[in-house]
Amino acid sequence: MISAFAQRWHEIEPLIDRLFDVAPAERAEWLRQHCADATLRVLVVQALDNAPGIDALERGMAQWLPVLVDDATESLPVIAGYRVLRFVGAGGMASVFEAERELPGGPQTVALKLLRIDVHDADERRRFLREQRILARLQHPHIAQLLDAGFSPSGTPFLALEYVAGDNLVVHCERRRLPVRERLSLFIDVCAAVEHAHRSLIVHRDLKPSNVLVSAQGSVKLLDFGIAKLLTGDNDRTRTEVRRLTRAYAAPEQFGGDAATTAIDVYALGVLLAELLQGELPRRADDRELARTPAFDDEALRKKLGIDLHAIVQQATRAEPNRRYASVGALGADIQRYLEGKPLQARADTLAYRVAMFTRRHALGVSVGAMIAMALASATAAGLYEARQASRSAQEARAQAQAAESEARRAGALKSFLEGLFDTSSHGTEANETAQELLARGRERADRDFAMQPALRAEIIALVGDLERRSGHPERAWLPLEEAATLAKMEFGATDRRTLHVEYLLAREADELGRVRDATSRLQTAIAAFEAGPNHDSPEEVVALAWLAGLDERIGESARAIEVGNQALALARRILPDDSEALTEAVMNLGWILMDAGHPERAAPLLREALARKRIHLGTRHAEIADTLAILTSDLIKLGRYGESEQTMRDAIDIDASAYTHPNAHTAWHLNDLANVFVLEGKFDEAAVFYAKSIAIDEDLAPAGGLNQAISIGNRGRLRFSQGAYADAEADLRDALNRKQRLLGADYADNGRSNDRASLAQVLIARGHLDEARTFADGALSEAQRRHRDAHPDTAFALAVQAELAAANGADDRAAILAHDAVAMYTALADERSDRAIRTRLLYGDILQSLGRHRDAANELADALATASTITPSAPAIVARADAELARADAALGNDTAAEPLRTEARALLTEIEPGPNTDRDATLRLLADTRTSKH
Amino acid sequence: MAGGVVAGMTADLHITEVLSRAAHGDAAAIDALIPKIYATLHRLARHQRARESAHTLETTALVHEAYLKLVSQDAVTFTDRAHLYAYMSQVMRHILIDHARRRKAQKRQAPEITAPADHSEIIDVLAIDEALTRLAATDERLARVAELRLFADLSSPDIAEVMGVNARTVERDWLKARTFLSACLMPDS
Repeated sequence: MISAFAQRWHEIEPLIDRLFDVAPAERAEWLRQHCADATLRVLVVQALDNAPGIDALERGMAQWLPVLVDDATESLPVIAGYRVLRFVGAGGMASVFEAERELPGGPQTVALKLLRIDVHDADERRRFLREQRILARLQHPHIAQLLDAGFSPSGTPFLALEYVAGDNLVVHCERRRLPVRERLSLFIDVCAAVEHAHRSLIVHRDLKPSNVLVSAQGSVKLLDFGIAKLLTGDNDRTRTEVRRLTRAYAAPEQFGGDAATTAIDVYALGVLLAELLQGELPRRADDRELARTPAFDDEALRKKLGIDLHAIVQQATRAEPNRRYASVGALGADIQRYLEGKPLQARADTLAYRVAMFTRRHALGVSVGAMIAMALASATAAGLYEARQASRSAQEARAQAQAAESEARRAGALKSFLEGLFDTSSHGTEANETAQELLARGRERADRDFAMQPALRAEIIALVGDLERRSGHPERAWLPLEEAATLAKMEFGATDRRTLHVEYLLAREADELGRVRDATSRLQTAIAAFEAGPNHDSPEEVVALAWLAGLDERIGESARAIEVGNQALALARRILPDDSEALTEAVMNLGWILMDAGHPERAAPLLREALARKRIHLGTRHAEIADTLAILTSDLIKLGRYGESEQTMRDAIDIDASAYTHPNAHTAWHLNDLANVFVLEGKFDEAAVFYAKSIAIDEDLAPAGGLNQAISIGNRGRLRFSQGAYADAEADLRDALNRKQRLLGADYADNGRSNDRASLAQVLIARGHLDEARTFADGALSEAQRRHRDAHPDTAFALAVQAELAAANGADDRAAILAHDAVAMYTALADERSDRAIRTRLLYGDILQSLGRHRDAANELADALATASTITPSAPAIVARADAELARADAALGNDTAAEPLRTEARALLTEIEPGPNTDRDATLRLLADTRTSKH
Repeated sequence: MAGGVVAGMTADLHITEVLSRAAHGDAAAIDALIPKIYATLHRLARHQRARESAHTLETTALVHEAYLKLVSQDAVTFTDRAHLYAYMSQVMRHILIDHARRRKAQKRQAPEITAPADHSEIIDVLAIDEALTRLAATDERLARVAELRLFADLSSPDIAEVMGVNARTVERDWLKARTFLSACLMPDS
């Protein structure tokens, strides 16, 4: 177009010269009459119709000048003593050139900064030079050194700074996709530099990415220190000149023209930190009002940075200067703490938080910090209200007030002791300090500081002991706890609730050491002694009773466990305020016991109540809520509520993601439990993925192999069994058994050994290794019967496996008796809806058919089918199998009209089963095929 | 841009001499003056902005003020208005082109203080320069009119006075030049 138009300009010009006098609407017609050349006509019309181009030309210089003025780049200036090499860049305040300074040792490359300010009179020049001298003294490895300053021939002030070639900090990190830790370590260097300047009373005032460069060597260099002050001065011009500052990084008070303080650098660093970590620009504030709103979308930032880093950014960028970090040093120190996994200053300075951070940093075994924090908190301040409630024996109001006061003193002393213990910053603890060292120090302090207060000393020693246990060192916990118990008995007497509390802690300790039976009798004695005294009906008694119930369940005394649990709960409901945590524990404990003992129906409402209570105590996203959800899930699956179970476990895992910075044992536990749900739902592929995730976390946490990992491996074996991969299943189950035996020793008996043995026997039967299967099946049954005098799901399962083995050996009569007993036990327990109970009924029906007892078989199978049909959402595999089994029984009874629809349903359901190996599908197909062959 | 030459020149020559050479179309002299004018222009713009909350600039006033300030500072009297304007427009054209080239070449973005204008509405100065050069080769008078109008922000009567023709002719010349330039600015299709 351009060349065609220019070439024919001599033809076009006379035409347009006349066209300007023709009304626009008539121009086309006029052209047709006066110009025969169509191409020429097009060129003319197009040129005249180019309205945007014409408009722009009419606007002229107005459109370029603002850009020019703002984006000023100047020609190379002339400065005596320097050879200006090239223009580097320009900002609101200055243009920067690369230049060489002549020095005796050879030329030195500098960044020459021409400031866009007026320095007219002698006073202003003096001020500039004075400031410059102050800045020249500022020397730090991460600050670009000011080398020289002066005035250009035209009077423009200039500064010569150390030349830094490199990207700005944000670009540097983005280009290299640096991980968060590396970004933070660069940022700490930035903080160190700013802090150094602050100590020299120099405030930067304009910190932003373009002022923070990273040199080719990877070293941070801050530019333009104190230059903002040179540019804007200290006086009222600050207000207007804030336009020259970069708004997004300017603290709110800068918009108001408040005096420049170190707090504005803290603010700018906070914004810079957020930008550095989330890789996005902060929200731009356009005026003072907007500047009062947070620089970032809080919710999005929290999601991206996580709780801790978000807290740091928040603390640095608070609108009120005095609520920010008191210094840049404090900001840098908090980031350092984050990197070392220590508690942050930015996070509430609470005991709970400190303890949580401490335990996270030291990876204290299975117990999470949050649980420790809660235990400690209830050992201190939280006990106050309940103590007041419980001290009804102190009849006079005065006595009650005194009791409350001494309780408050006790709580205060404990709290400050613990805070001192966990305040790692106060004694400069190294990051590699172990829990052992910390607790040894705690013990030492207890003996030293509380030598004259034996009562407090007893409590503190008990706490230290309890912490040892929770931090995964039960072997070190025994002695202090025993000592505390002795001290408590001496100081408080056997009937005091504090003594009972220590006994309760000791019982937990004994339990962890595998001395379940010791623990039970010791706690029983303590409770009896307590009840004989005047001070019964206390939260300590509730907790002790609830724990005693749990111990009973562990040693297989389900009936007594339920009785004691009920007693504890009744007591709690009677004496404790409704918001008591001890009451919640009693509810939770009884629910757990009932579930474990095979009463899922009765357990469910209690577990739901405990969950609701904990949500009130702890908030909905507390780590312990996730644990409670997991326990509730193990009950729900026994009730056939698979859909709800899956959702519950997903919620738990979601909470974990926000509650823990790193995956931990609880995360692994919850992933394992979700996988368990997937197996029941027939989502085998997903189950395999989640077992793998769980095992991977466990391997990370305990490379030598921990209990959780052994549990997941066993569960994976059960999954493989469901898939018909019997060899793999056997390998996993053996592995799990060996691991648990090694880890638990004699304690394995109280931790599901019967169950594991029965599972392995089941696999061995499927593989045809009947002799070895007998060893494991017998072991499973005898252990279950020895441990549980009453009906128990473990016993029922062991009976079912015995039935399977008898059937495999052709001993159908014996098999029928065993299967009958198993079914009856599940029914007695009201545990008929669990997967195992349904499968046991199917097995029983199958055995009855082998015996020719088709009528009985049909009845059992109809029950199994009805129960399987109540599973929500529907479980196609097991229902199809029940359909096919029942159809075969019906057919054998000559009832084809009943059998046919069942077969049709079975075939339809088969299409709903997830693809991939599935023993239920195989069995169903075999049953359907059998029917066909037997018919023809 | 021949930085070395420019630096040497300003150091050696007195401003009056540079101006006079520039006014007679000496390209090197114009280059030498650019930073000086530019700094003045910038300072003025800054002051104006500080005074007024609106972000619009009185461009004509600003440009003229910049030149007058420069000229008076150095006690140069420009009796020949035509020369002054011709010189102004050339200098401004150079400044804008120089700026556009730098902006294009500059990878490192200067921090933005104000929101950048909508670039779609701004015509590329470099394209205009090219078109203007092309126009000058075809019709020098049209090109001069366009240059004075675009880069010195002069009105038709002012241009008429500078060029010694009547305002009607200037108006007609501008329409023609405008058509030529806008045609050159149209994207090739």
